[in-house]
Amino acid sequence: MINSLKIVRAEGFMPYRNQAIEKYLLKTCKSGEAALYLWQNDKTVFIGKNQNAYTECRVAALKEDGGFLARRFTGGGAVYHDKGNLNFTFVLPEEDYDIKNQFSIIICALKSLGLPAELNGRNDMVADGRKFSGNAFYKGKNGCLHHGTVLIKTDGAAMEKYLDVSRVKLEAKGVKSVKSRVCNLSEFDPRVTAADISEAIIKAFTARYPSAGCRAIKESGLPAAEIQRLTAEFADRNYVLGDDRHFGLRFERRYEWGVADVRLNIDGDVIEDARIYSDALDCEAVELKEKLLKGLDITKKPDPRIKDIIETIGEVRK
Amino acid sequence: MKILYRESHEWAAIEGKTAKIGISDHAQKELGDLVFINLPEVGATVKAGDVLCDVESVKAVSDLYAPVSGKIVKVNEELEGAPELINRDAMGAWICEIEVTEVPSDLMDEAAYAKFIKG
Repeated sequence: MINSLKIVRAEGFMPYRNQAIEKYLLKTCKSGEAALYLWQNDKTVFIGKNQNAYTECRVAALKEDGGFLARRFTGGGAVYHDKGNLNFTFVLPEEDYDIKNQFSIIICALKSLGLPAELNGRNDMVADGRKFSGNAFYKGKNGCLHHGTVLIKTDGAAMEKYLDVSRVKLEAKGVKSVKSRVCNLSEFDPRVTAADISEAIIKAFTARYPSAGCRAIKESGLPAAEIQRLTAEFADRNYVLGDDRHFGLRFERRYEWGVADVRLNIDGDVIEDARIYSDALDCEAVELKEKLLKGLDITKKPDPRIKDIIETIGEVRK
Repeated sequence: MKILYRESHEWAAIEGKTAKIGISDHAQKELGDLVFINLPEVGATVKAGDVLCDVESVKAVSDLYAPVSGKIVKVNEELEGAPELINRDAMGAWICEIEVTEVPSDLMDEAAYAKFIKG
């Protein structure tokens, strides 16, 4: 039974730090305690745990515009966050974790503001049949986590821009995103703000556990060193962009110099990263090919030593 | 060969010094359709109860735990591109093979596990 509630509201908009706070709440989850965390990120594409960054997001365009790319530790597809979106997170011990109950807290809160909200399938909340909230879940040893978005006034054009990767058709092993028809809750009430919705969610949350004691925790009340360490983990480029398994384009070919398993991440026309596994005896030559590929614009005339690979890329991407 | 189960629904099929590890049919049903598996690393050593690897289903990301202690000597790479094989045949789709150093005494046999999931 839940006898104590913890409420944290993020004070900043930096995704990696906000993720760190969320992870900290999960790590410190204990029996009898439910945590609610409300947070907003500035201009962030938030990809699922097992997604390929390059097949889900226009990484270069996002970076150019000063946006962030972040990776969740929960599954599912890519979403776009900005200050027009509110994120909520519930952390509960397994015995008290109940997805339907958590959804109903959010729906109650939104209805109290006169906003039409209902559950759709397993992972979404919709208004007027269009999705305003995507949700994802984690089950671990220490506790369970349910988090989701609430689109209030998110920039739809930016969302389209960074998540539209239809121009690249890549064969990746990662989990693919599914495009949904989305809506902003401000369409139903132009005055509604993230602050209003936060207040309403807190009210509905505390009302759901009327006998539990409640603590609001400021960021300054969290252990700074631990939060900093977790922030660095989430900001780590290797974590965000992913390891080997997250290469977007992969093919095997027999070339004159040997059989090669080539893995690439291509953003637009530029090869962001390349790895070649080969049976070729001349390891140095293979390493050199890797180096030549990295950062190369594939529309330009390539170095003759990688001409064959560039030709294959052209074929495979057709 | 004997098959033992952990309370967190992993199985270990122990044969001599090695054990193949997987998840039970009950677990597969609870998780729902699997869309991704992060296989453990060959060469790593795990203690019984440690996180072995994780899976993503349409419902959630979930950790899987090692039912026995030992060194991971093989992983079933076939699952990497086709995690749904676990949904199709949970007892057949082994995840990894462990060179066993310790089998905890609280693992359950088939009958005890069947009773356990009935509650």
